[in-house]
Amino acid sequence: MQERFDQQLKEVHSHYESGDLDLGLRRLLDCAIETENAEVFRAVLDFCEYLESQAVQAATTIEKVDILIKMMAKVGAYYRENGSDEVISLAHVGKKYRNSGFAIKDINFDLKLGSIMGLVGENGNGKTTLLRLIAGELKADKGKVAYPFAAAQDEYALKSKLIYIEQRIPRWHGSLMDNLIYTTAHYHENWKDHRLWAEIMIARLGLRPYRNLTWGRISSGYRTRFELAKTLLRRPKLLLLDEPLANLDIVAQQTILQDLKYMANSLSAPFAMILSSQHIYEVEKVSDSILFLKQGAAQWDKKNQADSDSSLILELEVDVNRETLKNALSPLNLQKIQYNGGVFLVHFSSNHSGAQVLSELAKHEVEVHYFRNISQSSRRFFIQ
Amino acid sequence: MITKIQAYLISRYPLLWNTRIVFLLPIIFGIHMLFYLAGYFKHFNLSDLHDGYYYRYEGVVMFSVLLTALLIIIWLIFYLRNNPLKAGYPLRRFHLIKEFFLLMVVFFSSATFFFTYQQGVFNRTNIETKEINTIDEVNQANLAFNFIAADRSDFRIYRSCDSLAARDKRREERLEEYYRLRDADLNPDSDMINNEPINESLDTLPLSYLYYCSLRYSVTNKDEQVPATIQHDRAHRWLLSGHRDSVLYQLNLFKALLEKYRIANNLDPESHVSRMFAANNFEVDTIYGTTKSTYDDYLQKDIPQAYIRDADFQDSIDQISEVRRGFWDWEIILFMFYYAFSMALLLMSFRMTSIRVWFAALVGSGLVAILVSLVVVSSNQSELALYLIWLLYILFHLGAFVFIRSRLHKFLSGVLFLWTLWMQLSILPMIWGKLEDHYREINNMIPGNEVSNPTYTWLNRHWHELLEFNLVFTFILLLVFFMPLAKKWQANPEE
Repeated sequence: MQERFDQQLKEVHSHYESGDLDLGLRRLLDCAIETENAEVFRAVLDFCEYLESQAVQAATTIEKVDILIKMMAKVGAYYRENGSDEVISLAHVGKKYRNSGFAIKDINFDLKLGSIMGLVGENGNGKTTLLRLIAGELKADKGKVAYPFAAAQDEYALKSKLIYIEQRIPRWHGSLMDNLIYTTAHYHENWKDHRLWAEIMIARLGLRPYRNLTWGRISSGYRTRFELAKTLLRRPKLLLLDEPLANLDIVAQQTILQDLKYMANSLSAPFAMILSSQHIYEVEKVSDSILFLKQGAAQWDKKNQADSDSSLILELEVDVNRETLKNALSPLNLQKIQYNGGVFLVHFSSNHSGAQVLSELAKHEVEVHYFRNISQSSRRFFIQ
Repeated sequence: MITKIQAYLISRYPLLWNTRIVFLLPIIFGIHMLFYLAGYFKHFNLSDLHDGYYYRYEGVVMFSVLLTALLIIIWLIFYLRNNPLKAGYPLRRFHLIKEFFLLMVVFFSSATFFFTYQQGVFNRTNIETKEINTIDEVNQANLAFNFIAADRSDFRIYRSCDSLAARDKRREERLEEYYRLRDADLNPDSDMINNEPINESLDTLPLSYLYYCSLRYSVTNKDEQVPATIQHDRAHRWLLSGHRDSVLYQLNLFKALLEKYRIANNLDPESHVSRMFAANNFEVDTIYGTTKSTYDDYLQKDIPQAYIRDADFQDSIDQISEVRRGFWDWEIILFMFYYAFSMALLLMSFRMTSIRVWFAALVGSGLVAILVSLVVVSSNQSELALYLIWLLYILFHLGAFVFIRSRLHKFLSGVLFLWTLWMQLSILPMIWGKLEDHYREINNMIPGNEVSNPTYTWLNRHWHELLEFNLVFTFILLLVFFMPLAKKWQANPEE
């Protein structure tokens, strides 16, 4: 574990060396969180204050970072016995709604600490129902949902480590900081100053400028981030996020997902995560596995199913019409062209690559504005 | 300062922070102080002791109730912001029971402003009346009342201070007189045949202070005051030995007492004593009324009369005695405990379940009450209600326990759980009351009053202990049964 931690610290140094200050700070804060040490927290928070001051100089910053890295290397990552690596296991899980007739059918998967699973599918295909089943809010009619990490715990204790964030985040009352400290006080009982924990998490999620505001004065995107901060302070073992990206801008979406991936793989407090989203590409980037739900059934499981379909499917945005595009790509055994909201979906048989397609387009001087190979993406299941 | 305290509490004692009790209690204490001072510095004179002493609290009671309601509403706005149980935060074993206890403290302390006001009034009254020797004053007034006739019905043998033997002797003399008159009367239609006036005349004493025996006033512990017979003997001696000055002195003392307490009267001791000693055989010439005048039906107008509002003196003495005893008797404290316990239970039940379930249980309990009433009315057996309630209690209990443990029917199990919880405090007293009723019936079958059923007597005498036990028992049940069950319910899935 110490080796991994040292590696993380080196990574922080290299981010600063290469001038990637933002990522450097985020990873530095990750390392600080790994130590779970009040002195380290204070030092890192002082560093954050320094960064917010007017007197920031590159050389001084790297100097300060190095001091912090040394301090953290000395303290080391906090070691905690995390028990079973396996967090959740679903075997033939099914659930039917009597009134609507809609059913979740035969879902099977398991997740380990540190792994992320993306849950995708069109609206009304059972993503939220499946998340609620996993969160223990709904009861499965068939199959078994097991939580190996909490085998000996009662249901309430299990639920306190199994955190489900709904699409619509409930309103927080009172100050944001008070809410975070109050939550921390329930989860970090041995700590004397829970404000430090709240402060470090706020810094980690880039919320320091907003920490003294109230719920009504922040945008929905920042509400999502504060809710995430609160959730991460609760040290989940399994984090279930229902459309967490809905309220976030494009930059925040990528940052938050990357941050969650880092944190899920934490040395001191790793967790598994399932997130449902319509932002397929962003989710696929961070997920170890993808579950595509269609009418309540798992249509495709990226991790477990060998892909039988090996055809090449591309998304293209070009400034020519369908006929011109067809002519340009005809030498490549084109199977099908679909037009879908400004983007062409182009199907080829196997034995072709994206590079060949781009080469053909270049030959015919077709200007390409957007190109994506979705052959292995769940995106292709959304095509009618 | 407040921010520092808040920061310390939220981190170290999140429960105290969330209940806001650290700030609420000083506010409540401050309000108590204001109420106490208002009571203490309220205008006081001795006439307050008999002049609607209690009824003048009405405004204060209303104000104190409104203030309590306002305080609780504002406090709830802060308190209900966070609910760690519903949020699924890990809770220590005693977290919920500690929260319940804090709620009890809030409800108990915020509902007693009026009592603090009353305590202020009592303390002031105590100070103002500390020189008053109530026993002495009652004895003085009682002795004086041997020379003031206030009711014709006092002149009866059974109200006499004579010994039983003397009363029998007197009654025999009156009987002889009756027979003599009856025998002498040859007219069979004479009124003397009618027993009513005869019987009445048999009991009636001559309207003379010599036969008048009145123990007008009393203190709580009657053993402490001079008995009526001794007072009568003394008064009798004074009259027979012509101690006019002693009688006058005593009446003057009484008049001074009346003036001290500002009791309305037109007693003139000098003229009263003069008339008394001038009369033949101390015959009574004035019966004192309790009002300034009496309405004459024949004349259709108020006729002035001799009067003393003598009951005011007793009221004053009673009030002083009550103030000295203090009003914080165990019954009031127990009542307040029940109030605080019930309110805390109601609020805690709201915290432990969902809003939907709580309101459904509230509406449902009304419907169940109506249903039970209909069954009872249609069967015309009031006892059936009790048995039905017990049956429902057992069924609700079983339903809640089984469904929650087996993770079934979350909504229904929540409603059953709340019904059981709300009924809990009333079950033991109901059983006790029913048992007492049962043994009362057995007791009533015993002829005479000398012997009573020991079980009935025991049940009847130990109501207080039962009510105390009931609170402790329910508190323990909350800790070991209801609260763990509530946590389990929270973790259960919906259908």
